[in-house]
Amino acid sequence: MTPLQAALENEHAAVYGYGVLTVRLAGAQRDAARNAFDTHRARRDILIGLIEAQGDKPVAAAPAYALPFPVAGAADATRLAAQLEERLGASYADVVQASSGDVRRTGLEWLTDAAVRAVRWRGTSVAFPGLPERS
Amino acid sequence: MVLMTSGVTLLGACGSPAKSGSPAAGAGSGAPPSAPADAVRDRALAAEADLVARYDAALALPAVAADTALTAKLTAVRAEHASHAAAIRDGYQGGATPTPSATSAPTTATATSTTATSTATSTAATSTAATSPAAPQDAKSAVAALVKAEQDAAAARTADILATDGGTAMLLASVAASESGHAALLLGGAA
Repeated sequence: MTPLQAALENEHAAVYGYGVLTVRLAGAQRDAARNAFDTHRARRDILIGLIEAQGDKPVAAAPAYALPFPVAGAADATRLAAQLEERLGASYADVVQASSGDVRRTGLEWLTDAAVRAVRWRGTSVAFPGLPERS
Repeated sequence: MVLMTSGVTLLGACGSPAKSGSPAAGAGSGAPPSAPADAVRDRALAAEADLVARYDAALALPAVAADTALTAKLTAVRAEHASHAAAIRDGYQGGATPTPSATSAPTTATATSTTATSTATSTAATSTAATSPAAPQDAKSAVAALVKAEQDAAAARTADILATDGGTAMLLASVAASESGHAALLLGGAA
């Protein structure tokens, strides 16, 4: 699977995951989750376009995704959101490595965005977002 | 409890598991390198040394030292910059023995802050702020200055990330993303 296809698969999962977790949040956190949902849906569509432009067939979304743990409350919701962003960050680090030009720039921007969102969900930073093998 | 089972795990799409190890492993994939990796890494090392110096200066302020929580936060971020520098140095061919001509100034720079930043020519213009008499004395201004320094450092890496080989680009992209994350952490606020 190419890095762009892997990123698309993770964006599909993130759209699903934010749809599940948003209802467990309130106030500013719910607003942030809604914003993330919209952002990831837009990125999913951009990735589909990029992959099609390369003559490839974009991976389709699954009808549903297994959650890594039950999302019963706000703490579970923010934990899942952080994990979704961390996984996306790893995808975009791979995109940066394997691409050049505008695609690499997009990978850098979206890796950065995932890292910032993950910091906000977790409340802590990491030295190497997108490179879990270094943490 | 698994809410939905479709055979697809929510966190299942893995990145390439082979990307561990040397950051130079990706060299050759993606774009042909047009910027020498050692020069790119020298600039990144100088930027990390500058940031470490800025955190040292902030941590030395009495107003910061009096705030235990802020001191812990800044100390943790400073340590992540030290990790960045170590990882960037590791990327040199041979790792432990970088070529002296390319790396001597920034490599020694990371250990001792202020003298090092003045020798790092690419950041000399900005690094003086860390120790200048005009540096902020209150904690809030000091944190605001660090936020800006993190954001500037992340933005300053973009051209090199776009121009260098895939492995170096991936490492520096992670470093830049971390710095943007530091800015978000220091700014605080809800997700």
